[in-house]
Amino acid sequence: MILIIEDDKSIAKLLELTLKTHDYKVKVASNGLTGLSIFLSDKPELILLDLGLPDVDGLEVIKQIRKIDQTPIIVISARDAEDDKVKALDLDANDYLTKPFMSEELLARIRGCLRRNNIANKEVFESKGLKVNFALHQVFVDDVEIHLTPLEFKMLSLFINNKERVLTHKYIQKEVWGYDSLDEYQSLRVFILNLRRKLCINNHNYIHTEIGIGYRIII
Amino acid sequence: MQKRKLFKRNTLLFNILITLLINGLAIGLMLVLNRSYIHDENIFILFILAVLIITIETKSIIYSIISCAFLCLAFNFFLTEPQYSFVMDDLNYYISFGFFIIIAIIFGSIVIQLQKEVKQSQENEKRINILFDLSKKFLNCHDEDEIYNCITACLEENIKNKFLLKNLFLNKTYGNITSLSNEEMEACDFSVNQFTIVGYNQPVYSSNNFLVFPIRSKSVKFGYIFIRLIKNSFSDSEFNFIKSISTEAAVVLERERAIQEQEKSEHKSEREHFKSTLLRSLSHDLKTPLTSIQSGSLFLKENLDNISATETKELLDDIYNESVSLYSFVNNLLNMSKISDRQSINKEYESLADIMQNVEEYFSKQKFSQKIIYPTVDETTLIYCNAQLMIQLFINLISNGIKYTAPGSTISVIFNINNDNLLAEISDNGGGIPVDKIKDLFKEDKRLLQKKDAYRSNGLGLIICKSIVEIHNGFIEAMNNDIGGASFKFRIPLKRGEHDDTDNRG
Repeated sequence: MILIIEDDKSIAKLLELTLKTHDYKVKVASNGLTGLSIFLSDKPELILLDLGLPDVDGLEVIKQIRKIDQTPIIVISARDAEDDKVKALDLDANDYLTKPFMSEELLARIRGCLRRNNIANKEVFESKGLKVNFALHQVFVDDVEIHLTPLEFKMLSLFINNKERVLTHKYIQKEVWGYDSLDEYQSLRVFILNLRRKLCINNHNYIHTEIGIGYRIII
Repeated sequence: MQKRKLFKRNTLLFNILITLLINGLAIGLMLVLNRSYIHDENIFILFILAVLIITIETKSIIYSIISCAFLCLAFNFFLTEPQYSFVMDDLNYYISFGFFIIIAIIFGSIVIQLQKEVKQSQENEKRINILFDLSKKFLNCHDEDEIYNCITACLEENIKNKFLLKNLFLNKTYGNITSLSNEEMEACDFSVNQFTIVGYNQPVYSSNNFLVFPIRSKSVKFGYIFIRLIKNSFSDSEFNFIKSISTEAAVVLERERAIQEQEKSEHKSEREHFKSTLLRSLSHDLKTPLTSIQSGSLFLKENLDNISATETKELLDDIYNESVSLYSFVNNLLNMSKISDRQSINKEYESLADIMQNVEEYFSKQKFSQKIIYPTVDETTLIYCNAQLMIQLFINLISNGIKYTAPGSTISVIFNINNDNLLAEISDNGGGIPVDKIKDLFKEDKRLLQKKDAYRSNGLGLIICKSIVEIHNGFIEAMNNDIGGASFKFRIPLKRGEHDDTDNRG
């Protein structure tokens, strides 16, 4: 069951309709408090949370949910609210959607969040031309071997293990380098661009930039 | 040089020499004239002349008196009976001597007074010229700080005393005194608050070794001039000089304030007027797409069963497109308000390729008959900018092309990256812009906003483009090209520049 916490009736209806059409069970709450109580009583598999709720700050709702468990949360907010999205992601929300969104985006993100992370246990990952052998540390794009540095490989693995989920600059920086950035993520950006260039065989563009937020691998 | 110093005017040596010289000449002439049987009266007149010359040259009454005495004695000695003695028989001579001395003293005093007055008026003229120059300099000053600097320079050039000039408004000090004692500061505050000159020989703080001249008008306190006296003396003319400066400064500073207030209120009323015109234009621009959306969706609601699926889809496409352009329009409004509050624009190094990818995605969701050609951008090209604004810039320019070119035209986005600049060009081949309209394209002219569907400008989109380019320290222009359409070209520096020092690097 997916819980939708959204005060805007038309958007809530749209979400409900889209999800039901794709065979998801749905419950809708129109404010934060109702949403939290449904969360506590019904234990949804995933939560779609609007950040602009009337009664309580969306970020607060995330904090409350996270105190209890790690149910995937996808935040929905307006364009140009990059700061809010980053804050939400830093508070451990899993992904975000920008209004107005396309239903394919919504479904893809939901899929991304619901997927169990069992990729880390596998030895080989293969999809859309990209083939990664975790054991041997080998990477191929369209059967052309790509030579990555250890850090680049680490970053690629991070993306694959979180595929179709957005990763903030902060998260990537911490996971790959272990410490926060000293230069406003400048070196991180350049690093990712270089990684992208290496993987760009036959116009494959796996790593997608979410401006103001971070990156997402799409495979 | 040595010689000049010896003969410097009015040194003791000079005065003595001159006195002796003139006296000698006078006596010599006296003897000569006497031989020629010239009357005594003429000799007295000669003496008066001699004494006058001495007074003029020595500028002191003392030498004239001494000369009088000396000449009288000489006359007595050489000319009066008995000759070569200091005894006089004739009473008349005593009377003559008496008158001679009195006349010499009177004339002498007058001459000396005259000389003093001339010197004084020369000094006054000099001071007036200085004040006049200062006034002229004030006219060229653009702010308070400049005015104070002018005053400081003037004081430094023209008075020997150490001084301190204080600007109360900016809390800044000028001049060559580094600090004031507590008592001195008290005196300054008093002077400004009571609007009176305090210090040496003034009603208040009279026994102190300084003077404070307040710079203020009846209602506003601007600052003060503090002068430290040398040996407790300050000439009247210097006093009046500083007083004039302080008065003049107050006038100029008040005028400066008044100008600033006036500018502010003019600006304000201009902006108000622009705002109301803008609001009218905006409501028109918002209503147009909304009307399409409303009527389109209403039609569908009522006629869904009567029309074919293809027609339905077409109608829905139109509704969608209108809503997209409406959304973009509202975004432009938001950006415009952000831009006018410069503080809230954050810039970072963003990938140009990412920006273009966003632009491409935006247009991929819409349906239109024109073809858009995007440039290939090196993944690693970074540009220091606000990504959302840059995306909006491209969206506006390309949308403008879609809106105003003939169906089926091609709109090309071309990049030229050289040195530190991005030179971008959005060109189409779908009909150009009337030449007389080109110069008005980017103008925030209220008259143009009132015209419905002003050619090639939806009243806001291109103005926003100009603002965005300018806020990125760039330059934009429009022109007709040689492939039958219009070109919009802009240049933006790739790297962060000096102008961006105060940018908030969110």
